[in-house]
Amino acid sequence: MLKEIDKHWYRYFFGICLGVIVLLATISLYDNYVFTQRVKNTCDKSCLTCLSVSKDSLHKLISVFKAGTKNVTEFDEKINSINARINDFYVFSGIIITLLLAINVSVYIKTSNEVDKHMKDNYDAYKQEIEKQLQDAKQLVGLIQGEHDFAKKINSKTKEDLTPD
Amino acid sequence: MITMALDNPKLDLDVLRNIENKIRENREDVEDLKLLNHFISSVDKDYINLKMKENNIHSFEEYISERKKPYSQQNPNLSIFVGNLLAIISFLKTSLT
Repeated sequence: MLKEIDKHWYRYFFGICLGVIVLLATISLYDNYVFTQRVKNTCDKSCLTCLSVSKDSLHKLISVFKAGTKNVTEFDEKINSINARINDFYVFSGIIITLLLAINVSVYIKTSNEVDKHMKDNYDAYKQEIEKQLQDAKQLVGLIQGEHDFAKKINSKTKEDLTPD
Repeated sequence: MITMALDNPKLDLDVLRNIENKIRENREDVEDLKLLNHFISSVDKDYINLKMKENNIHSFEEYISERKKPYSQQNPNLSIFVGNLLAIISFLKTSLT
């Protein structure tokens, strides 16, 4: 069974799957580690130094601000939530498109391999059939040549008969 | 009586049909070709010999042996000569009817 399926098909398929996994892993790592760290560092270093306030007082300030602007926070959360959903949509769309492309490529390769195999298996039968058709065509050529020869002969004989002595 | 019939074969539609079928089914033999040559010689004495030369066939025996070979090993012009033979039969049939 494994011999019938070409090895290249698996290579392409596993390559694409591996690519998708690496892509997802990279997005996850970037999202969870690099991006978060960068935001943290920015807040810790830039904001605090610019405002010249301690970290605790800043947190207090934020909590007061949050309490005072509850509606605004909810609105921000909604926006963040929508953004997260849109991100999910992009990621899953990308995965679906990649999988569809992979399926198309695999079907194309599999079909071409199947056709190659079929042609190799039935090469002699096709060759014999083509040769038979060629012989039939030649036979028809011979038949036409013969008919032409006899038609010419009859024509010349008729002319001879009609010519007055 | 039989010898006489063989020496002076009569041109007949059944005989021609029989030879035609044999040629189409690749069952003809030297005697059939000789008979055809005999029939057509009244119209053109050397027609079959000329066509055999044109198609690089040297004798009736060679033609029969070539016909038994597979297509790939046959003389490439053999089928043209077969067509010529069918044309002869067609002409003779027309002349009879």
